[in-house]
Amino acid sequence: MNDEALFLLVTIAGRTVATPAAEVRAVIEIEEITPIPRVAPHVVGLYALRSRVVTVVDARVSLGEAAERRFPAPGVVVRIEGHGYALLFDEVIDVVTARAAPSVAVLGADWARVVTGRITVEEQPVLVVSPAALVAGRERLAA
Amino acid sequence: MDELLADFIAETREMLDAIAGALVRWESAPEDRALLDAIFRFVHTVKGSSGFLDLPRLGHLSHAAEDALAAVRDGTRACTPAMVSAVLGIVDRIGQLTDVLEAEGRLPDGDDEALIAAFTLTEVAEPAPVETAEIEPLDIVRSPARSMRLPVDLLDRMMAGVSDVVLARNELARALRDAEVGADARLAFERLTLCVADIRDAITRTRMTRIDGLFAALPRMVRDLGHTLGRQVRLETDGGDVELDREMIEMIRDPLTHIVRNSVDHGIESPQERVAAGKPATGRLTISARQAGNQILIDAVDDGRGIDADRLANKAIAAGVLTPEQVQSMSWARKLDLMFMPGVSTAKAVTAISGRGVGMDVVRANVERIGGTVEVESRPGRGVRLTMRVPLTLTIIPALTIACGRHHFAVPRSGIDEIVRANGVSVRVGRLGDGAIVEIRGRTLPLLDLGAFLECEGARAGDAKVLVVLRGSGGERFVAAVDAVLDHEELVVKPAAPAIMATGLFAGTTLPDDSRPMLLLDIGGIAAAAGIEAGIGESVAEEEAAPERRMSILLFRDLDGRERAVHLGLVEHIHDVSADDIAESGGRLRLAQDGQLLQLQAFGPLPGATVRVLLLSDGTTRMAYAVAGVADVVEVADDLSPSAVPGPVAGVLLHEGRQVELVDAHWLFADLAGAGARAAPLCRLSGVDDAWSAMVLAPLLIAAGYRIAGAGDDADVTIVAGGEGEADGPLVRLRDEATPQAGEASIWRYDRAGLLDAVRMATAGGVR
Repeated sequence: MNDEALFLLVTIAGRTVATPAAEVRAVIEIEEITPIPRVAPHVVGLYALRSRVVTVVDARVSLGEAAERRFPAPGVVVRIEGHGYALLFDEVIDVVTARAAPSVAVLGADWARVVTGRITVEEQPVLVVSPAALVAGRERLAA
Repeated sequence: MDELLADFIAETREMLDAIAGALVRWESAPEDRALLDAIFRFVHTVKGSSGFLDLPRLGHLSHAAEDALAAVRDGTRACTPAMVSAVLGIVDRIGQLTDVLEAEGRLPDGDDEALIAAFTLTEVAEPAPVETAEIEPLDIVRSPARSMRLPVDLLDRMMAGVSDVVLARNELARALRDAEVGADARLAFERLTLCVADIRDAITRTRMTRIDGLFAALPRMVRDLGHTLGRQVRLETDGGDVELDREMIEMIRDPLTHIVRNSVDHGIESPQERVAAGKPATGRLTISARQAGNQILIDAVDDGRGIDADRLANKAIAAGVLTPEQVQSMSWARKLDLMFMPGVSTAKAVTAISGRGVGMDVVRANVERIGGTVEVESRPGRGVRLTMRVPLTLTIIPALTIACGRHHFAVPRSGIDEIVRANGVSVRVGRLGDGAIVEIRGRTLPLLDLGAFLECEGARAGDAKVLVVLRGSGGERFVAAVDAVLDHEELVVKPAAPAIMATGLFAGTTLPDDSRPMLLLDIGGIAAAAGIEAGIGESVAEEEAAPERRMSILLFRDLDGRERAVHLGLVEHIHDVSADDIAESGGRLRLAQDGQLLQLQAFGPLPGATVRVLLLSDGTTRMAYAVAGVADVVEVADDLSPSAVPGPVAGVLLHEGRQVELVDAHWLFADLAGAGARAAPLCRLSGVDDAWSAMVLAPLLIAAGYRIAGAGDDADVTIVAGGEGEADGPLVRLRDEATPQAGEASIWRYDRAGLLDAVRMATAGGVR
């Protein structure tokens, strides 16, 4: 991994993490969602992004943290296996250019599932998380 | 060019493109079974198509390649490099001939024996690279295509783009109202609105196709196949008006072709065999399509010899796919399922049409790829029913929107039997064991509190007001208690994310006009999750002995304060519109809506800034009807007490002890069509039996589109029921007895067809 790439810096449960910007279609402000009954807890609802319906996924809940949602909230739109998703983070901070390296940190099961590597931003290490793993949620861990 | 031929060319070319990679890889890995299968399917398909399109040169080529490949698949022949190049030579030739076919509309004469001989050569020995496989260059230029194939993805993007434009237009409309711009801007805006509506309409239509386009190719195919095989087959198709996403149609074209081919080839017996078996000499093949919930079902039913599941099982054992022990524990249905396994087929002899066990595994693979299923049912000697179920994704379906607490859901209209109020007269809610049940007109059904079941926020148990009788595609019938039925809408349904589909409760997502996403309920899935099985409730109380005719009506409060109702089938939408969009000119009210001017009917002063309107449609014309409020959707017995005089009210219904006026849609549309009430011929009823005329004859005539003349009207025809009666104009005389009396031109009063014919003839000349 020699090439530098763009990463979107966001916060989840107070921690700053990065997600590959190449996978991000848009960053939007989510005002109101249609809740979905009886679904996995991290899948929180539907949102109309213009004329398309995207599924809203709470990154905190996907990582086993307690939900703490206030709308409007920033949503990062990604497309996984043909379906559009908006990932809810606490905050969207910045876009940075960095070089990904393997993660060396010892992580809990929830985090280990979503972390794909790390980058260095202003001399601080930042974990890179995979949007697809956040969307998959904790269910897949049990399977 | 013949449409079938064009289809064949396009299909062959697409398949060639698709297997190009496989061909290249196969050269280096001739033992790879998957690659072998892909190439085999290609030549098999070409063989089948060229058979019924009468392209013997292509059929000959593909048959040769198929034979060789089948031998390799069976293991009776080694896959040598010489054999590979011989097959590749044939595939190339097929491609070239296809190009010529497109350019010239027919196949050139020529000799492919050298190519085909390459197989025989490789069989004898292992000669040096077969030079005979070289192809003489065919001198052709691909002609430019007259039609264009577009990726559906692109259409999706266009569709999304147009929807965005519509939303932007709506915002602009609000802004323009607030800004109070001049007439020029308004005019320009109206023009824009019209354009947008046009484009939206066109693009929606681009994606949707009636399935009869797919059915159109079948009769000829069946005829040609029957001719070749010496079978007599009568093909019947049904449900051609079912609309399906264009992409779906393309995806089921091949599987359906295979199924039909198989059925004629292996299912239907020769006329002699059929007669010997005591069946009519002509076999019957019925292809029907229908929508069931969120799926389209395509049935292919033949009355042929059926499939012998035991023989299939033996074949599977012989082919080494299964062990005898495995087969022993298998049910009939499981054994039948073997017909979808590669390499298993019951055909005794390999024919030019099908029968190498390739068809059905391809059918299942293709249908499953689009999220569908194929099921088979068969009784030996009686025939086969193959059912393809394909999802309705991206299909526009009529749906009702319902509310449970703060949640709104869409329910496919096709899954709704009826809607009743929880406190209605003939409805009793009770408990049976620990489950809730509801008795509706003597029929007991399981009751599900949908709000509680779906854990809806704001839904209070036992508080639901409306009961919706639902029917899943598997026949599960239950009653869902909901807070309210909101609207009737045509919705574009798209598949939901896997996590949502995993709940098994939802069939997809949709975006109604108000831009708030909504989930479409999967009725069968909800029944399964709630533990309701098919057939429950059916046995508790059979349907009433004499099923009375019932109709669904929408109850509303009219502007004049009266409670009225309209047939639900006529209601397209319920909308709140701004009074600014309503204008009066030339004595008529008009509503500007989605770029269209609709005639608006109002039986009272408009209430204020916002007007609730029903959008009614008779299939071709649309109109708006202003109301004070919408009350409910109910089903009532169809025993209308008709009005004495023609007018906006067709008659009075009894609903929960109250009199409700049913709006006469015919009068409304006729009145608004500008022709006023003039278009319908006037009938004067005269005769001794006045009660019969008013109670029996008048409703029949009104239903047939006539009007009944009042005292001062000039009638177009006079109808005399019994006794003497004279008229200046045309006259139709009715008699009481079924048998005519000598010398009298009259019609029996209960000869419905004859009566209406006579009235039509009598008024044909004199309509004013």
